[in-house]
Amino acid sequence: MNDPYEVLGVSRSASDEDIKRAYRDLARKYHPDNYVDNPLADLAQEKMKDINEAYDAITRERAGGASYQRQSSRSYQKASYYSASNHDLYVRVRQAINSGDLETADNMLRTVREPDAEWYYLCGTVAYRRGWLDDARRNFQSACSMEPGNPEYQQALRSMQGGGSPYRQSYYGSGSDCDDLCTSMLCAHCLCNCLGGGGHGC
Amino acid sequence: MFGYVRPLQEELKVRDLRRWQEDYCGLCRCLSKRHGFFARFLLSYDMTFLYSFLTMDRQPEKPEKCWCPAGVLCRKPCRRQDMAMEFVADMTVLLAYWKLRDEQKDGSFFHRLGARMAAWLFRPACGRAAAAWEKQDYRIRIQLAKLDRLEKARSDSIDETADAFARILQGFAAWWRDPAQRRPAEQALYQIGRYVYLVDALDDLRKDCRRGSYNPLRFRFHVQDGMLRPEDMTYLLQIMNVSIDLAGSAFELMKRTQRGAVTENIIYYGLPAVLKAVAEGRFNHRKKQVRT
Repeated sequence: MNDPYEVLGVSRSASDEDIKRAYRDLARKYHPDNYVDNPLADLAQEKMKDINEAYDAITRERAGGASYQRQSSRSYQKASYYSASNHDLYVRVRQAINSGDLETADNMLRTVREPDAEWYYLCGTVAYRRGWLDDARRNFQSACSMEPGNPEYQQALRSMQGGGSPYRQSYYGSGSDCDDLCTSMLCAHCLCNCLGGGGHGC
Repeated sequence: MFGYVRPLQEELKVRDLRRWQEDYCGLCRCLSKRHGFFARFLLSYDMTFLYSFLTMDRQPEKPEKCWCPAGVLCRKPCRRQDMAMEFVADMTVLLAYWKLRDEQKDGSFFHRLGARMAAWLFRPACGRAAAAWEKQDYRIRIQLAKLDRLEKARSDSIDETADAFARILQGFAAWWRDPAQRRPAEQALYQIGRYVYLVDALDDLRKDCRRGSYNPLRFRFHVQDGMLRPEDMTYLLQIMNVSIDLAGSAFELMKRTQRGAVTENIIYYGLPAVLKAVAEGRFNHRKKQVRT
Protein backbone atom coordinates (compact mmCIF):
# COMPACT_ATOMS: atom_id res chain seq x y z
CA MET A 1 0.00 0.00 0.00
CA ASN A 2 1.17 3.57 -0.72
CA ASP A 3 2.18 5.95 2.03
CA PRO A 4 -1.15 6.77 3.73
CA TYR A 5 -0.09 10.39 4.30
CA GLU A 6 0.61 10.75 0.60
CA VAL A 7 -2.77 9.25 -0.28
CA LEU A 8 -4.53 11.85 1.87
CA GLY A 9 -2.20 14.60 0.64
CA VAL A 10 -1.08 15.69 4.13
CA SER A 11 2.33 15.93 5.78
CA ARG A 12 3.39 13.59 8.58
CA SER A 13 3.30 16.45 11.03
CA ALA A 14 -0.32 17.33 10.21
CA SER A 15 -2.69 17.55 13.16
CA ASP A 16 -5.52 15.05 13.66
CA GLU A 17 -7.95 17.78 12.71
CA ASP A 18 -6.15 18.43 9.40
CA ILE A 19 -6.13 14.74 8.60
CA LYS A 20 -9.81 14.44 9.32
CA ARG A 21 -10.50 17.43 7.11
CA ALA A 22 -8.37 16.03 4.26
CA TYR A 23 -10.15 12.69 4.59
CA ARG A 24 -13.55 14.34 4.58
CA ASP A 25 -12.71 16.46 1.50
CA LEU A 26 -11.42 13.47 -0.44
CA ALA A 27 -14.34 11.28 0.62
CA ARG A 28 -16.74 13.94 -0.59
CA LYS A 29 -14.88 14.20 -3.87
CA TYR A 30 -14.84 10.48 -4.63
CA HIS A 31 -18.17 9.67 -3.00
CA PRO A 32 -20.07 7.09 -5.08
CA ASP A 33 -22.97 9.55 -5.37
CA ASN A 34 -20.76 11.67 -7.61
CA TYR A 35 -20.21 8.70 -9.91
CA VAL A 36 -23.70 7.26 -10.16
CA ASP A 37 -24.11 5.70 -13.62
CA ASN A 38 -20.66 6.96 -14.48
CA PRO A 39 -18.57 4.46 -16.47
CA LEU A 40 -15.65 5.32 -14.17
CA ALA A 41 -17.52 4.33 -10.99
CA ASP A 42 -15.18 1.37 -10.42
CA LEU A 43 -12.09 3.59 -10.47
CA ALA A 44 -13.73 6.01 -8.03
CA GLN A 45 -14.59 3.08 -5.78
CA GLU A 46 -10.97 1.94 -5.80
CA LYS A 47 -9.84 5.44 -4.94
CA MET A 48 -12.39 5.58 -2.13
CA LYS A 49 -11.05 2.28 -0.82
CA ASP A 50 -7.49 3.63 -0.81
CA ILE A 51 -8.60 6.73 1.06
CA ASN A 52 -10.50 4.73 3.66
CA GLU A 53 -7.53 2.40 4.16
CA ALA A 54 -5.11 5.31 4.43
CA TYR A 55 -7.30 7.05 6.98
CA ASP A 56 -7.62 3.82 8.97
CA ALA A 57 -3.86 3.25 8.87
CA ILE A 58 -3.11 6.76 10.13
CA THR A 59 -5.72 6.57 12.88
CA ARG A 60 -4.35 3.19 13.99
CA GLU A 61 -0.79 4.46 13.93
CA ARG A 62 -1.65 7.54 15.95
CA ALA A 63 -3.66 5.55 18.46
CA GLY A 64 -0.43 3.75 19.28
CA GLY A 65 -0.93 0.69 17.16
CA ALA A 66 -4.13 -0.28 18.88
CA SER A 67 -6.41 -2.05 16.47
CA TYR A 68 -9.04 0.39 15.49
CA GLN A 69 -11.86 -0.53 13.22
CA ARG A 70 -13.59 2.15 11.32
CA GLN A 71 -17.27 2.23 11.96
CA SER A 72 -19.20 0.90 9.09
CA SER A 73 -21.20 4.08 8.89
CA ARG A 74 -18.14 5.88 7.59
CA SER A 75 -17.57 3.65 4.61
CA TYR A 76 -19.78 4.90 1.91
CA GLN A 77 -21.92 2.47 0.08
CA LYS A 78 -24.14 3.24 -2.81
CA ALA A 79 -27.80 2.99 -1.92
CA SER A 80 -29.95 0.97 -4.23
CA TYR A 81 -33.20 2.46 -5.33
CA TYR A 82 -34.11 -0.12 -7.91
CA SER A 83 -37.82 -0.55 -8.16
CA ALA A 84 -39.26 -3.99 -7.87
CA SER A 85 -39.78 -4.53 -11.55
CA ASN A 86 -40.84 -7.98 -12.59
CA HIS A 87 -39.90 -7.40 -16.12
CA ASP A 88 -37.14 -9.91 -16.94
CA LEU A 89 -35.94 -7.92 -19.86
CA TYR A 90 -35.32 -4.81 -17.78
CA VAL A 91 -33.32 -6.85 -15.30
CA ARG A 92 -31.14 -8.11 -18.12
CA VAL A 93 -30.82 -4.59 -19.52
CA ARG A 94 -29.67 -3.33 -16.12
CA GLN A 95 -27.13 -6.14 -15.95
CA ALA A 96 -25.82 -5.26 -19.41
CA ILE A 97 -25.57 -1.57 -18.44
CA ASN A 98 -23.72 -2.41 -15.25
CA SER A 99 -21.24 -4.57 -17.12
CA GLY A 100 -20.66 -1.71 -19.55
CA ASP A 101 -22.18 -3.49 -22.55
CA LEU A 102 -24.23 -0.56 -23.82
CA GLU A 103 -24.69 -1.98 -27.30
CA THR A 104 -26.50 -5.09 -26.00
CA ALA A 105 -28.59 -3.01 -23.59
CA ASP A 106 -29.59 -0.71 -26.43
CA ASN A 107 -30.53 -3.62 -28.70
CA MET A 108 -32.64 -5.22 -25.97
CA LEU A 109 -34.46 -1.96 -25.34
CA ARG A 110 -35.26 -1.63 -29.04
CA THR A 111 -37.29 -4.85 -28.89
CA VAL A 112 -39.82 -3.33 -26.47
CA ARG A 113 -43.04 -2.40 -28.24
CA GLU A 114 -44.86 -0.40 -25.58
CA PRO A 115 -42.46 1.87 -23.76
CA ASP A 116 -43.19 2.56 -20.10
CA ALA A 117 -41.51 4.80 -17.55
CA GLU A 118 -38.75 2.29 -16.80
CA TRP A 119 -38.02 1.89 -20.49
CA TYR A 120 -37.44 5.63 -20.82
CA TYR A 121 -35.32 5.61 -17.68
CA LEU A 122 -33.12 2.79 -19.01
CA CYS A 123 -32.78 4.45 -22.42
CA GLY A 124 -31.75 7.60 -20.56
CA THR A 125 -29.16 5.67 -18.56
CA VAL A 126 -27.65 4.13 -21.70
CA ALA A 127 -27.46 7.60 -23.30
CA TYR A 128 -25.93 9.09 -20.15
CA ARG A 129 -23.26 6.43 -20.06
CA ARG A 130 -22.40 7.21 -23.65
CA GLY A 131 -22.15 10.89 -22.80
CA TRP A 132 -25.20 11.71 -24.96
CA LEU A 133 -26.65 14.12 -22.44
CA ASP A 134 -29.44 15.63 -24.53
CA ASP A 135 -30.96 12.19 -25.21
CA ALA A 136 -30.43 11.22 -21.58
CA ARG A 137 -32.21 14.28 -20.25
CA ARG A 138 -35.19 13.87 -22.59
CA ASN A 139 -35.61 10.22 -21.63
CA PHE A 140 -35.36 10.95 -17.90
CA GLN A 141 -37.96 13.67 -18.33
CA SER A 142 -40.35 11.26 -20.04
CA ALA A 143 -39.79 8.67 -17.29
CA CYS A 144 -40.52 11.24 -14.59
CA SER A 145 -43.66 12.54 -16.25
CA MET A 146 -45.00 8.99 -16.63
CA GLU A 147 -44.18 8.01 -13.07
CA PRO A 148 -43.66 11.16 -11.01
CA GLY A 149 -43.34 9.38 -7.65
CA ASN A 150 -40.32 7.26 -8.50
CA PRO A 151 -37.24 8.44 -6.57
CA GLU A 152 -34.80 6.70 -8.92
CA TYR A 153 -36.06 8.56 -11.99
CA GLN A 154 -36.23 11.83 -10.13
CA GLN A 155 -32.68 11.46 -8.87
CA ALA A 156 -31.50 10.84 -12.44
CA LEU A 157 -33.32 13.91 -13.73
CA ARG A 158 -32.04 16.06 -10.87
CA SER A 159 -28.46 15.09 -11.65
CA MET A 160 -29.02 16.39 -15.20
CA GLN A 161 -30.56 19.65 -14.08
CA GLY A 162 -28.14 20.48 -11.31
CA GLY A 163 -25.20 21.77 -13.32
CA GLY A 164 -22.25 22.78 -11.18
CA SER A 165 -20.18 20.08 -9.61
CA PRO A 166 -21.34 18.80 -6.23
CA TYR A 167 -17.87 18.92 -4.72
CA ARG A 168 -16.26 21.81 -6.44
CA GLN A 169 -17.42 25.39 -6.62
CA SER A 170 -17.18 26.31 -10.27
CA TYR A 171 -16.46 29.83 -11.31
CA TYR A 172 -19.50 31.47 -12.82
CA GLY A 173 -18.25 35.00 -12.33
CA SER A 174 -18.49 37.87 -14.72
CA GLY A 175 -15.81 36.59 -17.07
CA SER A 176 -12.54 38.33 -17.59
CA ASP A 177 -10.10 39.84 -19.99
CA CYS A 178 -7.89 36.90 -20.78
CA ASP A 179 -5.06 38.64 -22.53
CA ASP A 180 -3.98 37.14 -25.78
CA LEU A 181 -0.69 35.39 -25.15
CA CYS A 182 0.88 36.23 -28.46
CA THR A 183 0.33 39.97 -28.25
CA SER A 184 0.23 41.39 -24.77
CA MET A 185 2.50 38.78 -23.25
CA LEU A 186 5.01 39.14 -26.01
CA CYS A 187 5.05 42.91 -25.87
CA ALA A 188 4.70 43.65 -22.18
CA HIS A 189 6.40 40.63 -20.65
CA CYS A 190 9.24 40.62 -23.11
CA LEU A 191 9.87 44.35 -23.02
CA CYS A 192 9.70 44.49 -19.25
CA ASN A 193 12.20 41.70 -19.01
CA CYS A 194 14.52 43.26 -21.52
CA LEU A 195 14.46 46.52 -19.64
CA GLY A 196 15.96 44.92 -16.61
CA GLY A 197 13.14 42.76 -15.30
CA GLY A 198 13.41 39.59 -13.24
CA GLY A 199 15.16 36.30 -13.86
CA HIS A 200 13.51 35.75 -17.21
CA GLY A 201 15.25 38.63 -18.96
CA CYS A 202 17.13 38.23 -22.18
CA MET B 1 -9.32 24.29 -33.30
CA PHE B 2 -11.33 27.12 -31.84
CA GLY B 3 -9.71 28.64 -28.75
CA TYR B 4 -12.53 27.85 -26.32
CA VAL B 5 -10.41 25.68 -24.01
CA ARG B 6 -8.32 28.11 -22.00
CA PRO B 7 -7.45 28.83 -18.38
CA LEU B 8 -9.04 31.60 -16.40
CA GLN B 9 -5.90 33.53 -15.62
CA GLU B 10 -7.11 35.29 -12.46
CA GLU B 11 -7.53 31.92 -10.79
CA LEU B 12 -4.10 30.63 -11.83
CA LYS B 13 -0.97 30.81 -9.68
CA VAL B 14 1.88 32.77 -11.24
CA ARG B 15 4.06 29.65 -11.55
CA ASP B 16 1.24 27.75 -13.27
CA LEU B 17 0.58 30.62 -15.67
CA ARG B 18 4.30 30.62 -16.47
CA ARG B 19 4.15 26.87 -17.14
CA TRP B 20 1.16 27.39 -19.45
CA GLN B 21 3.07 30.09 -21.35
CA GLU B 22 6.12 27.81 -21.62
CA ASP B 23 3.92 25.03 -23.01
CA TYR B 24 2.39 27.48 -25.49
CA CYS B 25 5.77 28.74 -26.70
CA GLY B 26 7.26 25.25 -26.72
CA LEU B 27 4.45 23.94 -28.90
CA CYS B 28 4.81 26.93 -31.24
CA ARG B 29 8.51 26.22 -31.69
CA CYS B 30 7.88 22.49 -32.12
CA LEU B 31 5.31 23.17 -34.87
CA SER B 32 7.85 25.30 -36.69
CA LYS B 33 10.66 22.78 -36.26
CA ARG B 34 8.64 19.82 -37.44
CA HIS B 35 6.39 21.34 -40.06
CA GLY B 36 7.91 24.63 -41.19
CA PHE B 37 7.41 28.25 -40.25
CA PHE B 38 3.79 28.54 -41.41
CA ALA B 39 2.69 25.72 -39.11
CA ARG B 40 3.12 28.21 -36.25
CA PHE B 41 -0.12 29.84 -37.41
CA LEU B 42 -2.02 26.66 -36.53
CA LEU B 43 -1.13 27.04 -32.85
CA SER B 44 -4.18 27.30 -30.59
CA TYR B 45 -5.09 27.34 -26.93
CA ASP B 46 -7.01 24.09 -27.38
CA MET B 47 -3.95 22.21 -28.58
CA THR B 48 -1.82 23.76 -25.83
CA PHE B 49 -4.41 22.40 -23.43
CA LEU B 50 -4.02 18.97 -25.02
CA TYR B 51 -0.27 19.09 -24.41
CA SER B 52 -0.73 20.20 -20.78
CA PHE B 53 -3.31 17.46 -20.33
CA LEU B 54 -1.10 14.71 -21.76
CA THR B 55 1.87 15.73 -19.59
CA MET B 56 0.05 16.38 -16.32
CA ASP B 57 1.53 13.29 -14.67
CA ARG B 58 5.14 14.39 -15.28
CA GLN B 59 7.41 16.18 -12.87
CA PRO B 60 7.83 19.91 -13.48
CA GLU B 61 11.05 20.74 -15.32
CA LYS B 62 13.12 23.81 -16.09
CA PRO B 63 12.32 25.54 -19.36
CA GLU B 64 14.75 26.32 -22.17
CA LYS B 65 15.14 29.67 -23.88
CA CYS B 66 14.01 30.05 -27.45
CA TRP B 67 13.76 32.78 -30.05
CA CYS B 68 10.30 33.97 -30.77
CA PRO B 69 9.54 35.45 -34.21
CA ALA B 70 6.89 37.71 -32.67
CA GLY B 71 9.40 39.30 -30.28
CA VAL B 72 12.73 39.73 -32.01
CA LEU B 73 14.40 41.48 -29.09
CA CYS B 74 14.62 38.65 -26.62
CA ARG B 75 14.39 34.96 -26.01
CA LYS B 76 11.47 33.44 -24.17
CA PRO B 77 11.30 30.52 -21.77
CA CYS B 78 9.72 27.56 -23.50
CA ARG B 79 9.15 23.88 -22.83
CA ARG B 80 11.72 21.41 -24.13
CA GLN B 81 10.52 19.42 -27.14
CA ASP B 82 9.45 15.91 -26.25
CA MET B 83 7.43 13.04 -27.68
CA ALA B 84 4.11 14.36 -26.32
CA MET B 85 4.77 17.75 -27.86
CA GLU B 86 5.59 16.18 -31.21
CA PHE B 87 2.39 14.17 -30.98
CA VAL B 88 0.31 17.30 -30.27
CA ALA B 89 2.07 19.25 -33.05
CA ASP B 90 1.31 16.44 -35.51
CA MET B 91 -2.32 16.26 -34.39
CA THR B 92 -2.62 20.04 -34.83
CA VAL B 93 -1.47 19.71 -38.42
CA LEU B 94 -3.70 16.71 -39.15
CA LEU B 95 -6.82 18.38 -37.73
CA ALA B 96 -6.12 21.60 -39.60
CA TYR B 97 -5.41 19.85 -42.88
CA TRP B 98 -8.52 17.67 -42.91
CA LYS B 99 -10.66 20.63 -41.87
CA LEU B 100 -9.24 22.66 -44.76
CA ARG B 101 -9.96 19.78 -47.15
CA ASP B 102 -13.50 19.80 -45.85
CA GLU B 103 -13.88 23.53 -46.39
CA GLN B 104 -12.89 23.17 -50.03
CA LYS B 105 -16.24 21.53 -50.69
CA ASP B 106 -18.55 24.41 -49.84
CA GLY B 107 -18.62 28.13 -49.25
CA SER B 108 -17.94 31.02 -51.60
CA PHE B 109 -15.44 30.84 -54.44
CA PHE B 110 -12.81 32.85 -52.55
CA HIS B 111 -13.33 30.85 -49.39
CA ARG B 112 -12.79 27.62 -51.29
CA LEU B 113 -9.77 29.04 -53.06
CA GLY B 114 -8.24 30.11 -49.73
CA ALA B 115 -8.87 26.69 -48.22
CA ARG B 116 -7.35 25.00 -51.27
CA MET B 117 -4.20 27.10 -51.09
CA ALA B 118 -3.78 26.59 -47.35
CA ALA B 119 -4.34 22.84 -47.74
CA TRP B 120 -1.70 22.77 -50.47
CA LEU B 121 0.69 24.59 -48.14
CA PHE B 122 0.23 22.05 -45.34
CA ARG B 123 0.05 18.95 -47.49
CA PRO B 124 3.67 17.81 -46.95
CA ALA B 125 3.32 18.45 -43.21
CA CYS B 126 0.15 16.36 -43.13
CA GLY B 127 1.92 13.54 -44.96
CA ARG B 128 4.68 13.50 -42.36
CA ALA B 129 2.25 13.61 -39.43
CA ALA B 130 0.05 10.88 -40.93
CA ALA B 131 3.06 8.63 -41.50
CA ALA B 132 4.06 9.02 -37.86
CA TRP B 133 0.56 8.39 -36.44
CA GLU B 134 -1.34 6.27 -38.93
CA LYS B 135 -4.10 5.17 -36.60
CA GLN B 136 -4.84 8.68 -35.37
CA ASP B 137 -4.93 9.99 -38.94
CA TYR B 138 -7.38 7.26 -39.95
CA ARG B 139 -9.59 7.96 -36.95
CA ILE B 140 -9.67 11.71 -37.55
CA ARG B 141 -10.65 11.19 -41.19
CA ILE B 142 -13.39 8.70 -40.29
CA GLN B 143 -14.95 10.97 -37.67
CA LEU B 144 -14.74 14.12 -39.80
CA ALA B 145 -16.37 12.23 -42.69
CA LYS B 146 -19.13 11.12 -40.31
CA LEU B 147 -19.61 14.69 -39.15
CA ASP B 148 -19.78 15.85 -42.75
CA ARG B 149 -22.45 13.23 -43.53
CA LEU B 150 -24.54 14.28 -40.52
CA GLU B 151 -24.23 17.95 -41.43
CA LYS B 152 -25.28 17.26 -45.03
CA ALA B 153 -28.28 15.28 -43.77
CA ARG B 154 -29.19 18.29 -41.54
CA SER B 155 -29.21 16.12 -38.43
CA ASP B 156 -31.29 17.45 -35.53
CA SER B 157 -29.38 15.41 -32.93
CA ILE B 158 -26.85 17.49 -31.05
CA ASP B 159 -25.63 14.31 -29.37
CA GLU B 160 -24.81 12.51 -32.59
CA THR B 161 -23.03 15.41 -34.25
CA ALA B 162 -21.10 16.33 -31.11
CA ASP B 163 -20.23 12.63 -30.71
CA ALA B 164 -18.35 12.56 -34.02
CA PHE B 165 -16.18 15.48 -32.94
CA ALA B 166 -15.80 14.34 -29.34
CA ARG B 167 -14.47 10.97 -30.49
CA ILE B 168 -11.56 12.67 -32.22
CA LEU B 169 -10.43 14.13 -28.91
CA GLN B 170 -11.25 10.95 -27.04
CA GLY B 171 -8.86 9.05 -29.29
CA PHE B 172 -5.93 11.17 -28.11
CA ALA B 173 -6.22 9.43 -24.74
CA ALA B 174 -4.57 6.42 -26.45
CA TRP B 175 -1.40 8.25 -25.47
CA TRP B 176 -1.62 6.39 -22.15
CA ARG B 177 -1.22 2.63 -22.10
CA ASP B 178 -2.26 2.23 -18.46
CA PRO B 179 -6.08 1.82 -18.37
CA ALA B 180 -6.22 3.46 -14.91
CA GLN B 181 -5.04 6.68 -16.57
CA ARG B 182 -6.44 6.13 -20.07
CA ARG B 183 -10.07 5.47 -19.14
CA PRO B 184 -10.62 8.68 -17.18
CA ALA B 185 -8.66 10.57 -19.85
CA GLU B 186 -11.02 9.21 -22.49
CA GLN B 187 -14.06 10.43 -20.61
CA ALA B 188 -12.54 13.84 -19.86
CA LEU B 189 -11.46 14.39 -23.46
CA TYR B 190 -14.77 13.12 -24.83
CA GLN B 191 -16.74 15.56 -22.70
CA ILE B 192 -14.38 18.43 -23.51
CA GLY B 193 -14.72 17.61 -27.22
CA ARG B 194 -18.49 17.66 -26.84
CA TYR B 195 -18.26 20.97 -25.04
CA VAL B 196 -16.07 22.49 -27.78
CA TYR B 197 -18.44 21.40 -30.53
CA LEU B 198 -21.55 22.72 -28.77
CA VAL B 199 -20.02 25.96 -27.54
CA ASP B 200 -18.81 26.61 -31.08
CA ALA B 201 -22.32 25.90 -32.41
CA LEU B 202 -23.77 28.33 -29.86
CA ASP B 203 -21.19 30.97 -30.68
CA ASP B 204 -21.83 30.69 -34.44
CA LEU B 205 -25.61 30.40 -34.19
CA ARG B 206 -26.42 33.96 -35.25
CA LYS B 207 -23.92 33.88 -38.13
CA ASP B 208 -25.12 30.47 -39.34
CA CYS B 209 -28.76 31.60 -39.26
CA ARG B 210 -27.89 34.66 -41.32
CA ARG B 211 -25.96 32.65 -43.89
CA GLY B 212 -28.27 29.66 -43.83
CA SER B 213 -25.40 27.32 -42.94
CA TYR B 214 -25.85 24.15 -40.93
CA ASN B 215 -25.89 24.41 -37.16
CA PRO B 216 -27.22 21.54 -35.03
CA LEU B 217 -28.88 23.95 -32.59
CA ARG B 218 -31.03 25.39 -35.40
CA PHE B 219 -32.59 21.99 -36.00
CA ARG B 220 -32.79 20.83 -32.41
CA PHE B 221 -34.30 23.96 -30.83
CA HIS B 222 -36.64 26.70 -31.86
CA VAL B 223 -34.39 29.54 -33.02
CA GLN B 224 -35.69 33.07 -33.57
CA ASP B 225 -33.54 35.87 -35.01
CA GLY B 226 -30.43 33.81 -34.43
CA MET B 227 -31.25 33.44 -30.72
CA LEU B 228 -32.37 30.50 -28.62
CA ARG B 229 -35.49 30.93 -26.48
CA PRO B 230 -34.58 31.53 -22.80
CA GLU B 231 -35.90 28.11 -21.74
CA ASP B 232 -33.91 26.37 -24.49
CA MET B 233 -30.81 28.32 -23.50
CA THR B 234 -31.24 27.25 -19.86
CA TYR B 235 -31.68 23.66 -20.98
CA LEU B 236 -28.57 23.75 -23.19
CA LEU B 237 -26.45 25.36 -20.47
CA GLN B 238 -27.58 22.73 -17.99
CA ILE B 239 -26.59 19.80 -20.18
CA MET B 240 -23.30 21.47 -21.06
CA ASN B 241 -22.55 22.01 -17.39
CA VAL B 242 -23.15 18.29 -16.87
CA SER B 243 -20.48 17.72 -19.55
CA ILE B 244 -18.06 19.92 -17.62
CA ASP B 245 -18.90 18.04 -14.39
CA LEU B 246 -18.28 14.68 -16.06
CA ALA B 247 -14.94 15.93 -17.39
CA GLY B 248 -14.11 17.09 -13.85
CA SER B 249 -15.09 13.84 -12.18
CA ALA B 250 -12.93 11.94 -14.69
CA PHE B 251 -10.01 14.33 -14.23
CA GLU B 252 -10.11 13.78 -10.46
CA LEU B 253 -9.33 10.10 -11.04
CA MET B 254 -6.14 10.80 -12.97
CA LYS B 255 -2.63 10.80 -11.58
CA ARG B 256 -1.07 14.22 -11.76
CA THR B 257 1.71 16.38 -10.40
CA GLN B 258 1.97 20.13 -9.99
CA ARG B 259 1.73 20.34 -13.78
CA GLY B 260 -1.93 19.30 -13.55
CA ALA B 261 -2.85 22.65 -12.00
CA VAL B 262 -3.43 24.30 -15.38
CA THR B 263 -5.72 21.50 -16.53
CA GLU B 264 -7.61 21.76 -13.24
CA ASN B 265 -8.05 25.49 -13.73
CA ILE B 266 -9.24 25.00 -17.32
CA ILE B 267 -11.87 22.41 -16.38
CA TYR B 268 -13.23 24.10 -13.26
CA TYR B 269 -12.86 27.77 -14.16
CA GLY B 270 -11.95 28.22 -17.83
CA LEU B 271 -14.68 26.12 -19.44
CA PRO B 272 -17.57 27.55 -17.34
CA ALA B 273 -16.33 31.12 -17.84
CA VAL B 274 -16.09 30.73 -21.62
CA LEU B 275 -19.51 29.03 -21.75
CA LYS B 276 -21.08 31.86 -19.77
CA ALA B 277 -19.39 34.48 -21.95
CA VAL B 278 -20.55 32.79 -25.17
CA ALA B 279 -24.12 32.42 -23.85
CA GLU B 280 -24.22 36.11 -22.96
CA GLY B 281 -22.62 37.16 -26.24
CA ARG B 282 -19.50 38.48 -24.52
CA PHE B 283 -17.04 36.22 -26.28
CA ASN B 284 -14.98 38.31 -28.64
CA HIS B 285 -15.11 36.79 -32.11
CA ARG B 286 -12.10 38.52 -33.53
CA LYS B 287 -9.67 37.77 -30.75
CA LYS B 288 -11.66 34.93 -29.19
CA GLN B 289 -11.41 36.58 -25.81
CA VAL B 290 -13.72 36.70 -22.86
CA ARG B 291 -14.87 40.29 -22.39
CA THR B 292 -16.39 41.75 -19.24
